Amino acid sequence: MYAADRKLFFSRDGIVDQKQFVSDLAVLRQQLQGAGSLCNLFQDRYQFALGIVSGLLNKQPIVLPPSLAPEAVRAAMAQSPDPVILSNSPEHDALATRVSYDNIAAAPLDHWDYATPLQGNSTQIRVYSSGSTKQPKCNVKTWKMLRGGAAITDQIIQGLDALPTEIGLLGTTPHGHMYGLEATIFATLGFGHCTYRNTIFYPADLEAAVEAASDCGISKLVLVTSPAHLRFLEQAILAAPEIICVLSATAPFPQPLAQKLAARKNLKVMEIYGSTETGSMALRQTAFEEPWTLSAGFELRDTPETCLAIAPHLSEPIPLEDQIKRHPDGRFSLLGRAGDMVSIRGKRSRLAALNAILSEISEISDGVFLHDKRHESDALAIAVVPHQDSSLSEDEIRRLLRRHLLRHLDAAFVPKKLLFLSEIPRSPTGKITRATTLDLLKIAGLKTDLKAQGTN
Amino acid sequence: MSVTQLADQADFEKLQLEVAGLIVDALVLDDVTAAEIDFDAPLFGEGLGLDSIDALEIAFAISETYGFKLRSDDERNQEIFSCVSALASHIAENRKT
Repeated sequence: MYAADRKLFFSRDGIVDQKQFVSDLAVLRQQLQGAGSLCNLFQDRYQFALGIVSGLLNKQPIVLPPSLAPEAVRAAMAQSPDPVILSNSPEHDALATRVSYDNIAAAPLDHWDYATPLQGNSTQIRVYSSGSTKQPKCNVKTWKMLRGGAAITDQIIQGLDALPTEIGLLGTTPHGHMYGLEATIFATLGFGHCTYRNTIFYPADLEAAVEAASDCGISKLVLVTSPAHLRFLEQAILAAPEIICVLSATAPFPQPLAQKLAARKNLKVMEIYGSTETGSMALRQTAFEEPWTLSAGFELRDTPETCLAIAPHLSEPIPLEDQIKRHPDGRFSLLGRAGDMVSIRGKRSRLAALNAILSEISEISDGVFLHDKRHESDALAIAVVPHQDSSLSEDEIRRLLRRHLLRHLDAAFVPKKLLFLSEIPRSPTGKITRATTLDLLKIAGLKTDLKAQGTN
Repeated sequence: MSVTQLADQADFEKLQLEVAGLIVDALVLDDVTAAEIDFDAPLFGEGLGLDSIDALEIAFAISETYGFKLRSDDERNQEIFSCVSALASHIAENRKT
């Protein structure tokens, strides 16, 4: 149990300490009485964390949809009883009752320990990811599992040349997805690290966060981010000596970028490996090493079909979605993604799910996502055959198709490249060969990647 | 309309075309030209089909070209990014170069 004044969250409005958190928690828990489950869409990490702990203590399952696309939110909530949406935006008001965060000055309480009652808590946190149909897949998590995944972040912070109480965590990645959830929210809730409430997006946001940290007496910062964001934040990181560690995950971290960052004085650059199913499970210093080291407690077990990840905080052995090569010293290398997993800018979906959503559009007689795995971010385009009776122009079909996809998917999976064909060259069994896919991608203007891995 | 207003309007139309060109270049949209982009059509959603990393790409190009930075805590962000015309207005108000 930490002290009452342990810093948990910070922003330009100041610090929220543990005592304040527990007082605000009592207010929100009261407000949420009667709800069956909580779809937590709060953007502010402090409010989101209050939503998580409220649900756990009130025994209301928490739903985290795969994206904010309305149909994705609806599909995720459909599997939980009497949901309410926690959000300050009216965007999803058509789907369920919304509870917004009121800044009620909560009466101070004489206790501040929220964590002890959570040990052994079995309320579900339902983290949704892309399934093999258009229905998202539910990954059931608990306090113990997510705290276990956040242990890797704690381990990295403990290894830095600073007192953990001097350190603040900043995040660019969404906290409703596993990596951001573990490395910011659960690093705070489970290990008492102090996290910045806003999500960093533009380089100027990073500068504002560094300034807010300084005003709050936080002198050292850890940036939880991804390669997609790092490309734009590189200069701001190099110019901010307050940032002493960069954690990257969600997609392979290009080694030259890792080396460039690691060359800055007093900057540790770490990469985390994990998945929605396993949580964070391994780490490496990308600038200096290629193989991954398993996080404490994790072990791997080979089966004839796949490799399983096992850890005390996971309820069962979990098959890895990536093909790996194990080294005699216990470390492992990643060989490529197994199956039909699509990875765009750090976000993942299954090709089968994308095609299932595409097939619902009545104005096209045939359509397929063209996908080629690439090292950092895949190539993705769509080939469609307009229905012969359709009176719509290509531009109208393009808009209609994008509108439909955006109701179900994150915009990262809505390709800019759309190919109109009179027929899709399918094989006699109805499949599209890899050679055809590559040809069509080339026609769509997407170049072949020499480093392309695996086959479709 | 006065002569000054006409000149301002011509300048703004030029800036809109310039901003559309910046978007086409930053995002490597090789199947559309700046002149083909509807300045009042939504950039995100069904319009050009951009995602959040595309917004970062555009913001980066804006700071390089016009010398000012966008921030997430600007409440007008949704409006600023709504279309080329809105983005051009914001640039006209804030540009340093």
